[in-house]
Amino acid sequence: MKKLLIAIPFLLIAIAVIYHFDSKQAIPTQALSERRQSIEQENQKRMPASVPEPEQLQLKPSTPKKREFIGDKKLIMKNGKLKFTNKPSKNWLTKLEKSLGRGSPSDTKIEIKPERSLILLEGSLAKNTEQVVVVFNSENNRNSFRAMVDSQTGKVIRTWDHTINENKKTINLTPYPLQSN
Amino acid sequence: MKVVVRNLLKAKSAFLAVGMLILCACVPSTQSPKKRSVSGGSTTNSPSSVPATFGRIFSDNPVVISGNAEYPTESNFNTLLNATKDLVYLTDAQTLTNPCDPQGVGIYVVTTCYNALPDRLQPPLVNNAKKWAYDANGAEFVQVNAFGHKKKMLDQWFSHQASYVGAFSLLPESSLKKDSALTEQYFSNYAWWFSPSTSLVSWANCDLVDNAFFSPAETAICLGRDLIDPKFWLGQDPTLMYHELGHGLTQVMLNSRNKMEGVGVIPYNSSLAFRSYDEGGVLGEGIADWFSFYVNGRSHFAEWGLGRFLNQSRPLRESDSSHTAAVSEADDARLAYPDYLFYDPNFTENPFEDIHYGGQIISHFLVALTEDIKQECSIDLPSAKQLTVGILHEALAELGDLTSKGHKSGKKGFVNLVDNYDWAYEWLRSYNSINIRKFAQAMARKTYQIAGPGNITFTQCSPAYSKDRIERLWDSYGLLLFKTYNLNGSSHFDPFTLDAPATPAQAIGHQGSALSVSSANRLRTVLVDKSAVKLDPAPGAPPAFVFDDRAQLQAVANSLRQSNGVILSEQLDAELGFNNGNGKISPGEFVGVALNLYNDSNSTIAGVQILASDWQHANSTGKLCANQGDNFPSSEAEGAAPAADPECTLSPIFNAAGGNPNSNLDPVCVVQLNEGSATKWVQQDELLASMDGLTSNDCLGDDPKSCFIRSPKGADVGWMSSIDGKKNWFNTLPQDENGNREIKGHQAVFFEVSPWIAPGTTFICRLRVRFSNCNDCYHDVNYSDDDYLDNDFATGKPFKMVNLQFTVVD
Repeated sequence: MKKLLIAIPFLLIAIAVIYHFDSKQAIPTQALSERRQSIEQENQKRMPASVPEPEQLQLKPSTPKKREFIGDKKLIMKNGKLKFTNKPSKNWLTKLEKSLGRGSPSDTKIEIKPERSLILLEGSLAKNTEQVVVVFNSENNRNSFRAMVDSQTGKVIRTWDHTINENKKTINLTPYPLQSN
Repeated sequence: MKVVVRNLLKAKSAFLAVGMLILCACVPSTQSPKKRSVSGGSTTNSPSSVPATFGRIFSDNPVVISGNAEYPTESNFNTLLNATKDLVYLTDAQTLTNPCDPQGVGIYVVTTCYNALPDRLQPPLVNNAKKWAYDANGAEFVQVNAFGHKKKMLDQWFSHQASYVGAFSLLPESSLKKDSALTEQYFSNYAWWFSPSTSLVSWANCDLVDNAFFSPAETAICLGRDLIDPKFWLGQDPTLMYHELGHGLTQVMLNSRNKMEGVGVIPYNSSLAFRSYDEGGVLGEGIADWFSFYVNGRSHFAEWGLGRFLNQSRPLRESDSSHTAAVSEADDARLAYPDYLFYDPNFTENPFEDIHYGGQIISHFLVALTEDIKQECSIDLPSAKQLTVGILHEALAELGDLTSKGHKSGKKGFVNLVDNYDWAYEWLRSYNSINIRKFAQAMARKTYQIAGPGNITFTQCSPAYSKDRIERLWDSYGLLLFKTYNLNGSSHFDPFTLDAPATPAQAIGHQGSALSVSSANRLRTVLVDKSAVKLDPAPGAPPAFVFDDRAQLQAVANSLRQSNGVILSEQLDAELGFNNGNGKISPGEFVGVALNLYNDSNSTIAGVQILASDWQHANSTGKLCANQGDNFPSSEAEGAAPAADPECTLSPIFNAAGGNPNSNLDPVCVVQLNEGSATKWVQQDELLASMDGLTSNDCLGDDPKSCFIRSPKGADVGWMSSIDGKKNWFNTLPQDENGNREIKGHQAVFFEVSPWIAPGTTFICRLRVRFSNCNDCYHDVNYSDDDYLDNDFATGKPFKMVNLQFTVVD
């Protein structure tokens, strides 16, 4: 009994030590869970009112058009087939609109105009993509660019053809000296 | 055109109030436009006074026509029109629209090539009688005026283009043809325009205050209006149309090859500028300014659109009266780089960092080149303009080539690394972007090949424009920034197999002569060694400055999203709620970092570029290469690869499949990992592996090696316009009238900081720095100062390494 009474505190200390070192590397699971939940909730939120329907309605992809190939498909075709890295999703445009609107000021209207559907040949693989024009409109400010978008995830792969504005709003930044270690 | 907002609204309001009371004669004019007789001007400009398909447009802007720098908007603008001299053919259509027939033979025509609308989504002006004469005081006239001047410039450009393409490109193989960037598909592939079916629209009554833009995505030119005066439109000034259209033609020229040999294989377009300030932007503004001279031959532009209320018109040559006395057309008094980057001729006492002011160096250089070609080649000014724009076209077409061949007989990798459009685009955007040095070298190369002795069987200039003359002119502008003309390009591929060479010496880019510059001609241009750049050594000086104010970084994120399509990770709060503005790098933040760089030389360095892009600095097992110039890490125990590791000595080899067989390009930031009693530096995927409860789904993006700290593409390149000798970057920035220096976002690189980083975690980001007037950032001493091969820019070799260490704190 005496031995047991001596052992218990040591056991408790040991548990406390293990817990302490674990917590240095591990993220508290509750915090992790809460954070993941908040990301999922954010993804499920309805679109904010500040991102209205574009004036030229383009929310629904039009009747599927034939995809254009970019690159020489004969180079990578094996057995008459291409190996694709993704599969087009019907709601790629909605996903894109959501990601572009995330964090965007409430006074900014975003328009997305699909231009063409492509198959980009990347080495030995092929990827379904969509080429769009994105236009941002806010008071006395208009910006646009072209974007290549993953047809499955709606993620922007690359942008180009950015607007050349003569009088761009400048942002003055407040500097803080980085503390050296 | 740049409208500089600083204090101008205040100045303008004051001016309007006071100016109404003070006689105009009391206000001195900064320029002396020639007074033009306006006899023949009537009080109206009625449709009945013109034949069908004709109309009247201003011969120039109202300041120049009237000879009055303060020409009041209350005036009757119709009196600025000459009934006969200003009568021009406009269009045979019932709306302002025209086809383009670049060769004038009815082949390869774009039917609706360019048109005019009041504004976006507004219907066009319809005139069934096709009589395009409207009251010059009204908005319709502005549309007609803008359309007419667009037609004027395009007619000239197409005419010149047909001539020089025919002269340069269609010669027999033994001649210049092989060196030309333009091919026989130029017209048939519609490489001379945006596309076979695209219309370049101008919105001449654009609802944008004190602004104008060119949108390649919408293929549109917007000319806005004045904040206060409803009668003042930028479209009343033809030179502003020339400038904006100049941006459009720059886009066309830059992408010529992507539409010729790149048709069906290149999905993107090249561009010059990517940040609010970078040297590509400086080049773009300078070229656009030059296009005004290209059309009207004058030494100044935008006297009305920018000068009337905002005092921001700009000169185009040193002899213009708006310049200070120190500036002249003497070789040692030209508007030289980098001395005049901040120069505002309207407010010389208030230097300001802006691409439009730096662009003046380029516009003046191009005007001087045009005049020099006229003189040296004994041709008239129109012919000199034609030859100059042809040289410019060849240079831009080569620089923007995403097929990587560069010209007709070029092999892959000549420019922009490799014939893989993603890699080529990345090289253009970040790794070896078009800066002032690259542009100056390309222009010299093309001038040598087209007008110079570069091709003895081809004579666009007789006697040839001499090599010495090229170098002296370039040097007078501080643009002799290169030691060779790089005639052999930058390809790292084998000349016979077009596969990777066994050694760099065998690479195409090091074969044959690059053509050396005569060092005796470099009198004004100063090249500085990269060793002069370091972190500020002053006692107590911080290694960098951090920007983490929430509102400011929200604005930065919004600007990057709209201008560059940068979309932040979903791991960060959408509203940047974790940004706490405490000047520390904390979990969950989006932060900017500006290196506190110091120039230890006695000369100004310029075009300072800070890269946070992925690069080759680790071997295939994740060990860090310590031979990149920073001696980091200091030992294998600390995470360094073995000293003789071949993966750290071999240059990367890029193939068209997008592969890089030697090694990967890895994210710049590595992390300190505690292992028992030792610490070592590792890539971020190792930290992820060591953390219980986290998976790759919790990373900032798809790459576990940038799981916790990531610089998103588009925010991963910073630009400092210049750093004076013996100064740091901050103290080089111009001061305003209160002595304050403004820091803008383009000087920083930006990082996303994962919310999952444990406070106390230390990172080092291996940033690479170079600048435009750098001696050893471009010239490889192992190959007689030939330019580095393009794949070298994936390593540390051409750069000055600056390691940024920080600890993430709560």
